[in-house]
Amino acid sequence: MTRALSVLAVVAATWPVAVGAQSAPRPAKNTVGAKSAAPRIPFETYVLPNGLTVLLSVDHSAPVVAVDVEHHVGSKNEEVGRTGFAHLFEHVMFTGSGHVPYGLHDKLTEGVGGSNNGSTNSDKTNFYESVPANYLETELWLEADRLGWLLDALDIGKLNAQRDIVKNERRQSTDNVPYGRVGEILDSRMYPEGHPYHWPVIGSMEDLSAASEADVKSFFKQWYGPDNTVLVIAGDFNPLQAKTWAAKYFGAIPRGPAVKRPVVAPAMLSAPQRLVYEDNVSQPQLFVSWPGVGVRSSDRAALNVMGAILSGDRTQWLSQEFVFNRKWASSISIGNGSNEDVGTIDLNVVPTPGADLTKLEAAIDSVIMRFKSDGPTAEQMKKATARIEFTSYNRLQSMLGKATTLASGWIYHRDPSWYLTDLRQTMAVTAADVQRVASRYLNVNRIVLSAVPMGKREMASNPGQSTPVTSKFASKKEVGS
Amino acid sequence: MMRTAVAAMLALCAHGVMAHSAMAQGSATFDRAKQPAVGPAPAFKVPTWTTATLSNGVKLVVVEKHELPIVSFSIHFTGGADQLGTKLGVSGFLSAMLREGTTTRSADQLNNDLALLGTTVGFGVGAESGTAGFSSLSRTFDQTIDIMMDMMRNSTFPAAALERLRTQQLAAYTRGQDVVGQIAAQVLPKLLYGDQPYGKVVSDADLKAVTRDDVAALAKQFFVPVNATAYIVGDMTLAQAKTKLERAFTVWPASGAKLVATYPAAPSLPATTIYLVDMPNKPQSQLVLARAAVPAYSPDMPKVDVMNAIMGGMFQSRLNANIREVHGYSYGFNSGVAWRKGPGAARAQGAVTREKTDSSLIEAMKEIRGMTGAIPITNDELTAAKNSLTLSLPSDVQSVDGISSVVSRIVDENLPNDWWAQYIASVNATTAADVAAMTKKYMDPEHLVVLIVGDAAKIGDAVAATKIAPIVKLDKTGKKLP
Repeated sequence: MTRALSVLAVVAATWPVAVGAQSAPRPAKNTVGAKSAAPRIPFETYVLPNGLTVLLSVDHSAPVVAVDVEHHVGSKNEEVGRTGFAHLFEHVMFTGSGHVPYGLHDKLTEGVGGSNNGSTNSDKTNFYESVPANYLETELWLEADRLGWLLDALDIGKLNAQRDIVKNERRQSTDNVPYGRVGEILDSRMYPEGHPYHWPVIGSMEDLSAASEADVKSFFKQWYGPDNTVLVIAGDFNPLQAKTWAAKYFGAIPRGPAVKRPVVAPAMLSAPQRLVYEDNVSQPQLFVSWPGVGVRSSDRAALNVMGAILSGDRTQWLSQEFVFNRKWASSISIGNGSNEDVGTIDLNVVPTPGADLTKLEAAIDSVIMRFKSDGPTAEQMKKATARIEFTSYNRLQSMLGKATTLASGWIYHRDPSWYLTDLRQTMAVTAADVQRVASRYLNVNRIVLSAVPMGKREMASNPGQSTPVTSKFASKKEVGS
Repeated sequence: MMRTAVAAMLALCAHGVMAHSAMAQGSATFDRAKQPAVGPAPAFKVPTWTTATLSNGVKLVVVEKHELPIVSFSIHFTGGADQLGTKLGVSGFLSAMLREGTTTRSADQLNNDLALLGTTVGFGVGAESGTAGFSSLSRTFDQTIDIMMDMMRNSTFPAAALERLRTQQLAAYTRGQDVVGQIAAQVLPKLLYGDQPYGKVVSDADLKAVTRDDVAALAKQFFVPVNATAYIVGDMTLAQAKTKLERAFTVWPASGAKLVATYPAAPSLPATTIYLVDMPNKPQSQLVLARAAVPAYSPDMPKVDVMNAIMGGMFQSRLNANIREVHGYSYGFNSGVAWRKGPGAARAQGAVTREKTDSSLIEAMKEIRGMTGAIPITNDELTAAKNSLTLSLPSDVQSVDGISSVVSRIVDENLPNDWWAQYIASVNATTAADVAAMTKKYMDPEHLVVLIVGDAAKIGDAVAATKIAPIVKLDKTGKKLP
């Protein structure tokens, strides 16, 4: 859920925003990491007396500097009846603060040849700028002002305007998109009522309507303390000067209250679920979701490699069988999605028109059975990790890419260089590891969801045993929603 | 924690001192309402390039950048499906069919050979130009380019693969018919350009008519050295690049004739008309306001870029500020110019709340009309627009791909070597009067195509009541309905 889209379907839009933001309630399907020989991002770190962690990474190769401010709070920290609030709050952070009138932030980013955006997921929220290097002090001033003095400029009119925008974001990303609600339906079934990952990042229309000015104030005070925040500066700057500025602008912001992280039960299903969802679509699709693991699990790396081996390219297991041999599917993908505390392994099939979903599901299961017993070949393992070295160099080209890599490490592991651990863990995965996690996680306790055209429940996989579902987060009032 | 973390700990101690002295400064009072002063803007240095002509007639352009051991390689071809007279739909299959095997590699071998190098080779044939290329580590360049040449020269284009891809493309076409943005994209060109080449859109019938011979013939016709320029940006010298390409291109001898192309002029548009395509039960409508504008690199281009930035190109632009930020009718309403060799389209568009379709149209028309003079362009708007177009350029040359794109624009279009400096000067010389004139000339509110895709039964009457223009009802393919 980002503040602004970069490119819409029809026009080649020119907004220089939304660079690689983490956005989806179901996390990106990461595949593989990098070799231990990967180049490192040089950085230094220190903590201001108010608890703000500062990371500095100097790179003079282009006259550009990126500022990334990340807070360890996301949709999982929302309260009952206020789903979508963390993301709505992200929008409010762009409406001006005590010493910065509304609109100035855009003028001092895109209006000086730079860009800005923010993003929210289940676990964290970030705000960033990428600007010509002479604007570093300006961006620190802007970021510090909203972190320290947001509430001085808050009024209900601003909240209401952003509420309408976010409702349109929900329509555009979820309600008006074929299969757009499948993700939130699966999560609401995977995690029980009250579980912090039960609801989508975008929230429900009703809860967005209910969000109040008082909610903004208490959420800000609870979660936006400097001690729950990391500030990363990456690019062409003088670190001594940057430290002076960081202290000058952020130093006076008081510490926040103690942060209470939610207790999160692991993803678990005690029985299989079989669902059918009627959508505004002309062709059916099949979705399968298995309980998985969070980012700190030792099985995460092997699950990532497993996804690449089962569906990464045309010779991999599921793709070869269904797209190329049987031609039952236009595409098939399976991937591991790890959030901070929990995760899922998700499979999506776009069937060839006329394909029988019941037969397709059974045939997929038999390929997975074979994979569990035979395991991947050495060549499949090698291919799954070969792209790693190149990717690890490539990401070092953008200042913003470096900044968000360091910040993510801090948020999830309190270790900015965790990307190196990630690469090392991934490179160490063996064929036996992959076989083991396939057997452990790709089990019968899973959710199978058929998304079918309106009135066509008989197109579902095993239609007689499938329970009809709708999204509980869609508007109850809007027709077609 | 490893060595990096140890280094970080040492750094922490060193900066502890620093941070404390800085804190002392931080505790001093200062006026937070005062915006910090800024130093001079970094200069935009267009990377220097060197050129050579290879034995087979391909022009070579090299930009050296040795910080990282990576290389961006691309071949740009002049002319595309429009100039080659290719049947509609054929070019969309070429890229995928080039992955289906060569005379010496099966499709699976081809896939695995590239996967083991950690890279992919991409091909794209557009209406007016095309590309082929890859990024790789500098040390795997030779192996990668040999596979790329094998795909270009020796692909077998199996008929069975075409059938599989056709089924997939037809299914994707059918899925697209459920999406308001996709319907707008397939109807708009017909409204702007009629029967001209720019008005042609691939239909399901076109997809059904393509044969493997069509695809094979296009590859032969398209991959011609005389129309190609090769770009190498990254960790390689000109001498290395020449040697490597001469070796790789021995399988690609000189052939063909230099392509000479002409492009149609902009068709004249009738008075503003609203075209309505019905898609029941859609909670948002796609609203597009467009007209055919001006060829790329015309003298008006820099002024049109400034006009577009103020109208809908920037987040803070008039359309987005009004329709999104003030009214909340949309998650984003923007504008853009699809620059082409002939008259590309200038377009403003967004997905808007169904119940606010009429209001969004009223506001969009108000803003476009305002830009012709009724709501004067401010100095603040001009400054932001100019800066967003020119001061952003240094960040475009952070990556090897970005450098390739900045340099190739000049070489591909035969522009003067100092074109970027001229462009920046022209942008900066643009006045408020220029912006109004460009709006009048290229987004004239009296001669726009207004396209709305949405729930006609729920929005039709309200849109008619705006009295902005007569309404013509169309089906999803753009055919007039009674």
